[in-house]
Amino acid sequence: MNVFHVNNRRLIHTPICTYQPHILYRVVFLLLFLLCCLVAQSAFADNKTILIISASNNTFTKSIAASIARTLDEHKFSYTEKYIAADTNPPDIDLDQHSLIIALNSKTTDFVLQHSKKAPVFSLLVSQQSYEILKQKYNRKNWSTLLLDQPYQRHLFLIDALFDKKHKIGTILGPYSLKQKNSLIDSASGNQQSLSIENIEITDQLISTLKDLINKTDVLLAVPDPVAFNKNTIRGILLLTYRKGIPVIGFSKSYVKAGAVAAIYSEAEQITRQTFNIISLFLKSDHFTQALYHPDDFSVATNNNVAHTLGIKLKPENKLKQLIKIKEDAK
Amino acid sequence: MNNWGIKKRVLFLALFPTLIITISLASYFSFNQISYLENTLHQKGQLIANHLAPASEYGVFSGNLDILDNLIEKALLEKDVLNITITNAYDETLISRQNKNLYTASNTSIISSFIDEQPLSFNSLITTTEINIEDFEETPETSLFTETPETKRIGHVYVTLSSISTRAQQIDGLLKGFLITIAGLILTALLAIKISHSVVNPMQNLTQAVRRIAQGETIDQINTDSGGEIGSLESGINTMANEIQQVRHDLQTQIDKATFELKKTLDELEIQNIELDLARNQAISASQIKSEFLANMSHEIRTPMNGVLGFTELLSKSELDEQQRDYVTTIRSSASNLLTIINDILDFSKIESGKLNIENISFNLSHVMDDIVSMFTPMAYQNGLDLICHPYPDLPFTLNGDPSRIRQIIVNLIGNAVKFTTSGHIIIRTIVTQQTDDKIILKFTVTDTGIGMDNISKQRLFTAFTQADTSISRKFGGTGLGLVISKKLAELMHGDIGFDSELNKGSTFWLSLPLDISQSENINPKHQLLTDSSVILFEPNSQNRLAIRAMLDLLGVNAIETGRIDKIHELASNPDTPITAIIAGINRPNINNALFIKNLANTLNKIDLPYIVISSSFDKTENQKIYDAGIKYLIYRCSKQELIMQTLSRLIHSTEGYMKNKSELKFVTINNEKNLAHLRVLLVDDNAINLKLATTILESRGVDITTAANGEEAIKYASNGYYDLIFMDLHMPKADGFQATETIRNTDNPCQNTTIIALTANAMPEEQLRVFNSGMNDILLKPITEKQLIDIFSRWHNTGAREINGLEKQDHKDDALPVYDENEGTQLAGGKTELAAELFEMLIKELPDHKSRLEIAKNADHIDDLKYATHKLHGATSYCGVPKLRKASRDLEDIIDHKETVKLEQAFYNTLAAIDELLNYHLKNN
Repeated sequence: MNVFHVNNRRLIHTPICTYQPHILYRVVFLLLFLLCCLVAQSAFADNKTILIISASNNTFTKSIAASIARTLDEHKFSYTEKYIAADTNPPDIDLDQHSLIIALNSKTTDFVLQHSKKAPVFSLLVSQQSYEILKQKYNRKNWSTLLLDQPYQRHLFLIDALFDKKHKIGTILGPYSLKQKNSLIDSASGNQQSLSIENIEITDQLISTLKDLINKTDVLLAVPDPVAFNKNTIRGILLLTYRKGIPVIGFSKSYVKAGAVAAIYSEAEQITRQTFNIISLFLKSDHFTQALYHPDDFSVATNNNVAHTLGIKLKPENKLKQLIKIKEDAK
Repeated sequence: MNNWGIKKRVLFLALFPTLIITISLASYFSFNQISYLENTLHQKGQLIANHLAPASEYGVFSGNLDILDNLIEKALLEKDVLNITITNAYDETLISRQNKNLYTASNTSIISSFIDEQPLSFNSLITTTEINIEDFEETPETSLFTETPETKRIGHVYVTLSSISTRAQQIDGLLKGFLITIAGLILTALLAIKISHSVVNPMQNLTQAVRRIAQGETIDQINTDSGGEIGSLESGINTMANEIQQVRHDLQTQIDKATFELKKTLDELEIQNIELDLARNQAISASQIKSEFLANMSHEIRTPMNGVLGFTELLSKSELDEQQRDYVTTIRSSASNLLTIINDILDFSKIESGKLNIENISFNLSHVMDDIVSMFTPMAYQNGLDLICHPYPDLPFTLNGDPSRIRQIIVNLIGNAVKFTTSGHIIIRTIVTQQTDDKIILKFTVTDTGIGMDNISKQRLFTAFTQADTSISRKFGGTGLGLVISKKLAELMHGDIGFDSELNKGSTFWLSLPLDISQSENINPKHQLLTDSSVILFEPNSQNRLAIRAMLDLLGVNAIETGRIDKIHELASNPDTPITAIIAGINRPNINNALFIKNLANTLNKIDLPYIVISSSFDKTENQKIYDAGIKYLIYRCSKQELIMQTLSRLIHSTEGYMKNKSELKFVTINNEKNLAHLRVLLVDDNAINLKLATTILESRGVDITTAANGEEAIKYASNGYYDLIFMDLHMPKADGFQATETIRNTDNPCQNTTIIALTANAMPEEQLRVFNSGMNDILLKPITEKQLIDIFSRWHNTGAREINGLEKQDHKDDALPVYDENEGTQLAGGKTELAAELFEMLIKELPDHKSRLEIAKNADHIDDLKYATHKLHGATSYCGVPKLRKASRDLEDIIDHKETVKLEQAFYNTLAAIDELLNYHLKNN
């Protein structure tokens, strides 16, 4: 069901005058002022309408959308919610009418960018790899994205926080994550960590590559890449590293549940909060401060069973987050 | 199966269901076992493959064959696993292991060695296990990646199982099941045989015992050790056998005893039979002797009765005072009744002994009927009855049969009718029911208006020595043999007799007889004489009119009937119908009706036509009154039918000169006296009394009598002169009647062709036969009466002489009438003296009442009451011998009827005087 709420709020800009002009000028000025008010009122009414658009069949995105809507509602923002199906084409509404379109996940963003020309778009729940694809596809100025992935540096800080001494960190990059190789290397070197990176083109290369990698590293850092670290390869990777006694650092809470020792991830409230902050600023300034945002806030998840099996003594998750924050703040 | 013995049945019942159940269960469980083993083997193979597949994922994923080897080694330890092979995604064998210890001796059984290996293969796909690693899962709908990770097949696990062990187990199960089934069946059969023996043997013993018992054999005691119901049955059969044997023994004893007694009884019966035979012979002999005795007795009784009756007859004609006349009348009546009884007994005796022969002679039925009617008319008249005879128009003139027996039957029937009818009429009809050229079946009916009979009386009729009511014999007398004899006689004549009767309404007795029509002289010439003549028939009584009409029909005369006197003149003067004569009838109610008679006389005398009046009266005085009233041409209704018809014929044909024939008519009618003066008769009898009697009778009739005391004298007289008739006694000295007759017939003498009448008291058929064989013409049974003699003359010499019984009766002047006539009373009571006395006593008791009623009615001047009282008195005197009172009451009734008031006073006092006189007489004599 589509819920369409319109709650237009008028923002009146009052100019400040310090001198008393001629009566004729006063009349002319008054007429001009009224004309400007009418124009301003019309413009405000068109640009300040928020459209939250999300995939109709994804529970998680719908819950994030609902959370954002609730927050907007709390803060008296006018908004409209719309759920689109994956194959909705063309849209049954004029997207450009809205002053801001909040698009949840990569595919929705793709849809909005395709069918709107001038409306500002804010995307969230988009992975780094998806963002790269969209960026190549659309050269859009009034478009900003809150990435789903944590920055590599934050992962490297986590490894430091987990272990008291430095470990040799290894990772495998697939064709989608290969672009971040330099960024990763830079982060590791900035953090004075040893990082071994192996590249694979296809998944079948994973086992042999991983066998080689785990022989020369102490900890495996899993990065989001659908070729290297996906749900089919996770079991083999975990079993293989387990046999070698190498802990795996995941990139999601689910990874930790699957067998990784620890991971940094963003919770829904954290994403909602950061999204509201961004769009609040946008509504105030009528532009995005950044084209790409990384999650400001995060959470740390650990798997004590795996850690115990591997003989690793884990710090509490809050402590780890605190250590990471300290490092990030220090940077 | 129905013919199977118990043994077969028991075995069948025990084995057949068991066999069916056992085979069914064995088949079912064996099949289940085989299926189970087969399924288990398949499940096992697939289970191993399915378990190995995920376990092999990591080994195949990582290419670690050691891990796979370890897995396979462990799986091969499972029983029946023959081979395990693991391949990669390209179906290239990564590792394959064979179970080399599977067919070692310790693992194989003997059965296994006979089974060919048929390995079973199972496989399972090895796939990668998906584990979610994304917190915000990117689905194809949300992801922009074209390459999304999918579930990947990385290899196969192939498991090969050996089926030998399973097959061996299946065969083993089958074998064991079969063996168990066989063992069970054998055990069941043994048990069944054992049980059947325990049941069948006693049953066979019982069956044999029962069969032997049924065949009557004696059996030993059956063993009763079977127990249970069979034991009870054995005990029961033993008890039953004992009982039967005991019963048989008792029965045999009884049979022996009964046989002995039967034999004894048979002996006694044999003796009794012999005795009975002797007794029967004696009885037959005695019966014959009795019959002969009866015949002789009848002869011996009849002979003196002949004298008694004859001389009584003569005595009655002599000068006697009143008392003497009463005595004579009583003697004559008693003797006549006695003779009737004797005749009945004799007839019955003859019929019973089968010695009664039926004649077959030519006779004129009209004559017979005339005789009978003539005989009974006076008696009927005396009893206040009309006796009407309807002739049958086409009756043959002569018939062949036994006239005397027909007469006897009809006389009996009419006699009964007269006896048992107190008022009304008696009609005699002769009807032809069937006729051919030579045969005729006649039906005689006698219808009366008498007392009739109830159903009980009807059933008792025709039974010997019984009458319809026991009171009848008291009241009317009689032996009770009349109807029995009549019935027997009818049967002897191949006829039948019967009756219809209704109590208090009357009876009709009928006699049906087949008779031969006589082929000679069977023409009645008179029937053709009077055709085309018309007469006026005045007859108030319909039955009498019918009878006269029938006679006129016989004559071919057309009768114009009327019941009114005043119509006679009118009919006679009708020019369209010329009348030749008038026939008028005076019936009982009108006989004393002077006005009617006078009126009739005047009417008849005024019309110039010949007439004849038929009077129902038999009273000479009454007829004289009619004559005196002016009716000169009178004929009695009881006269012979032929005579009446002749008279009518002459009357009709003498139209022109009837006046000169009036005297002739009168002679014919009134002066019907006997005239035998021209006849010469020879009377032969050794009994002087009989001779005297017959002589006296016949001489009084002017007959010239010659008497002979024996046969020789008879022959002598016959040789010397002609006699018109010879009466011949049969049993006489010197020459008996037979010899004398034969001599007369066989010698040339004047009397060779003279009619000879046998005189005998023996009515036995043998003697009758001898009579006719000897040449005699007729038989006259003793005792001879005057009437019989006259009848004989009438039959054999047509003299025209006729005795009219009613004229025999002497009438008395009123003063001469006795106050009490005991004889008359007895006659009116059917010969029962006691009954007569009883009736007389009843009348005496009623007389004061009668007198009182008469006086009351007279004083009140109620003519109707007086008439009623007089009628009642007259009716009361009708059955008692009180002639004077009866006459007085009848006169008074007539005077009242005729309304002759002048004479009423005198008649009334005469009646009262008669009552007083009778009461005084009774008082004096008692």
